[in-house]
Amino acid sequence: MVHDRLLGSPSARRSIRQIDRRTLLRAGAGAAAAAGVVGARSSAFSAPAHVRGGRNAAGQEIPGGEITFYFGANPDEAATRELIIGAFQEKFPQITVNPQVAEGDPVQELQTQFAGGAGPDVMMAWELSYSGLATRGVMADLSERIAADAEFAELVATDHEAELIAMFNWDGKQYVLPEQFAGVVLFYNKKMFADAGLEAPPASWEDTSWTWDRFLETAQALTVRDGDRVTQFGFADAWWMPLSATVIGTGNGGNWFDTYVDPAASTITDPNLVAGLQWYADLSNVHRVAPNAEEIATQAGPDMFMGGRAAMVLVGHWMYPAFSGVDGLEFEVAVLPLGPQGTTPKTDLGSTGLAISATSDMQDQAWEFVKFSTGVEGQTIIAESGLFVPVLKSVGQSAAYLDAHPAIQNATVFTDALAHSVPLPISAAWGEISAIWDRDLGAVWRGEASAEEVCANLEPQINDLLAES
Amino acid sequence: MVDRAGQGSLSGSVAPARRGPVKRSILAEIRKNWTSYLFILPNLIGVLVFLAFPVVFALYMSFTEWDILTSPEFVGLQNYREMFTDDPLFWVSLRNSAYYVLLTVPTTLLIALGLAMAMNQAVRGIAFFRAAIYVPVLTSAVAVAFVWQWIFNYDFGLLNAVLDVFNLPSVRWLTSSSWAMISLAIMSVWKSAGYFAVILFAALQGVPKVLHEAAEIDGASAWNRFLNITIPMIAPALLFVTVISVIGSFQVFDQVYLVTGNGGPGTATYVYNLHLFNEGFTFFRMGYAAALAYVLFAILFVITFIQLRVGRQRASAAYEFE
Repeated sequence: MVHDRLLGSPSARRSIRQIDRRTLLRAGAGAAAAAGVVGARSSAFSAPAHVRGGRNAAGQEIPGGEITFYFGANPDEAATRELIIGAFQEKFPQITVNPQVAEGDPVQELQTQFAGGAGPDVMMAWELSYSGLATRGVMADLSERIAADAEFAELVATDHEAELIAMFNWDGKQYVLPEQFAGVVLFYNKKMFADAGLEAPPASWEDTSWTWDRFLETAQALTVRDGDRVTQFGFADAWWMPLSATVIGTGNGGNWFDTYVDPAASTITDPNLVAGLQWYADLSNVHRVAPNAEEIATQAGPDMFMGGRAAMVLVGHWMYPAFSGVDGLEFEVAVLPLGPQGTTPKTDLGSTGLAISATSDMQDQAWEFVKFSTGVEGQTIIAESGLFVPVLKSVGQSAAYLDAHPAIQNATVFTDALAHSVPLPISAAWGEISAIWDRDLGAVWRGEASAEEVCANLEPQINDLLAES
Repeated sequence: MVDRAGQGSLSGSVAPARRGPVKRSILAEIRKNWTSYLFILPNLIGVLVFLAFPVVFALYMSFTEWDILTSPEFVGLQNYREMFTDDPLFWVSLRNSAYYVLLTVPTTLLIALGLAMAMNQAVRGIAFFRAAIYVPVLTSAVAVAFVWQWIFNYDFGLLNAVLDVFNLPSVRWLTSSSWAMISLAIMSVWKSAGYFAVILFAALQGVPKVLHEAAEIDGASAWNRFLNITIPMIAPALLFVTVISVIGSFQVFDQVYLVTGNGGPGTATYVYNLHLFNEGFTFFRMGYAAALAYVLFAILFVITFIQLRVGRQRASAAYEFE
């Protein structure tokens, strides 16, 4: 039976103090962005129908129509979306795509839109929250359409990371096709490394030399103190503490759920995971190489990196455009540190994708658009923009992708990470789980409790929520 | 159903003295004064659709399990049962809100009264001060929250800088479990005292000067005059201000949401309406959120009832000598 406990949007409540990729996607995604998108489209895409256009892969004529496409984006990202929409409409001139940019929390917005019977035809879907909408019958099952299209099915089977496809397969149905990869990596300030005479951290996820100990030594060497006050931190978290620390824990061979798609039990007391959480908290509370809760409240991690107050930050590709826009900031990307019990460094299989509304009367048109965006054509546009990381392995190694990242040499750190990622939990109870998990782990970051105590207390609570969902 | 309920309550408030066969008298009255009813019809429809219906519908919702997308399922009193027996956060948030009310209401009233007395003085440029006191009330809650986040900042904040001047240790205003709620209360008092000061100021202006003059001639001290003339004379305004500020403080949401996010650190500032918001709009448990809303309504109803009872008794006692 469907329980009414639903997904949450962890970002909604931390948006004021922290920047994560969701808040970033939302930043500036107001009416101005939407107006800009619409305006650009009417001028740029009124081009006449292309000769070969209007047919799908099987050569069948796709009927015309209008589809609404809901997504979260900042103005730059909305422009990239616009390029994809433009290219799609050139291929299918009979289909008009109306962009609808999220104005607030996407899950709340979609939920209310569908409740009011006015949901979009195609929507962006977030890994942590999509299952709640899918469970409620909002999303169409794409499995049959994929199976019916041999060429596309082949692409899905071979060019996608299997674990990522599986993460968007809920209840045996493929509700979402992945479009962007968002695993976190380590960004570091090249000049600070050079000044301290430090060796650069590795750019290969197969390299096992970047251990916790070496990371700590590096961070200590990069930390500059003026009396009691730290003027330059060796490291700063620029994502979301509980999830960042969990990713570090998975790099120590830890796991926080028995299985990641529809888990039945949490394994958050796994000693390897707990060690990662504690190690991450100790960076600030014991070693003072990272900002503590007060200092992060003063200046968020990304700002510290951009302002030259932190030498390394853990965050995803979504900060690349902002970092590369800072004058005089020379940075590079590297893999995350490897715990003593881990085999290779790990990151999270963070991803967003596209889904089709189950109630849309434009199923065929919506499908062509999703196929286009998540297929080679759309992925290439994404790669060329430099704003997102494509999910297709072939596109992730392409010159188009590498050329779009002139500020760094190691752009493949992002795309190679796909194969070294631990999935995120996909559960209809995630909203409630994340609320208590985020809240209780706060005591660890503030140095008030050990990760071991907090996790021992959390595990039964999370299991209760999983059992109820 | 809804229409009838709405009309019933309306007639109740318009003519509270009337008893007896209400339904018939309403119909008779409508027939007699149909043009008047025609005039209030637009407003009446507004009240029914946007006020009476949501209130009644929320009550129905509180007996269901509903996630907006799938159809509501009637569960009887389950939401209320869960609240009292199986939701530790209900008690935590209720306690936090009560603590917040205790922190803010007396402080706000004392400061508002002080401000009102000061506003009542004939000083040069008093008009400027009267306006200045009201500025925090007019400022957007978001702007206030951001400014106060800076004031409370541990490293660069104004308050810790002042403490530093006096060689006092810095306080973790927003990140310490024991200080966070106090900090929120300070901010709220600053923001709302001006509003209540204006109301009390108006009441002070209504106190007849002759009473003060007569008492002064009789040799009453300033403190005696304040206690025995000013306070009794503005008692109705004080009562109003108390009732409004208790209700407002119990319903606090925006300041907390903006300043400490999800009610942190831990659950230190996790107030009642934050819990309600999370249940309704983060977990989409609309039925449970509606039940929470109705319990808060019941609590406020009882508290307000007691306040009005006690307040009226006091007020009538004060007027006994008139």
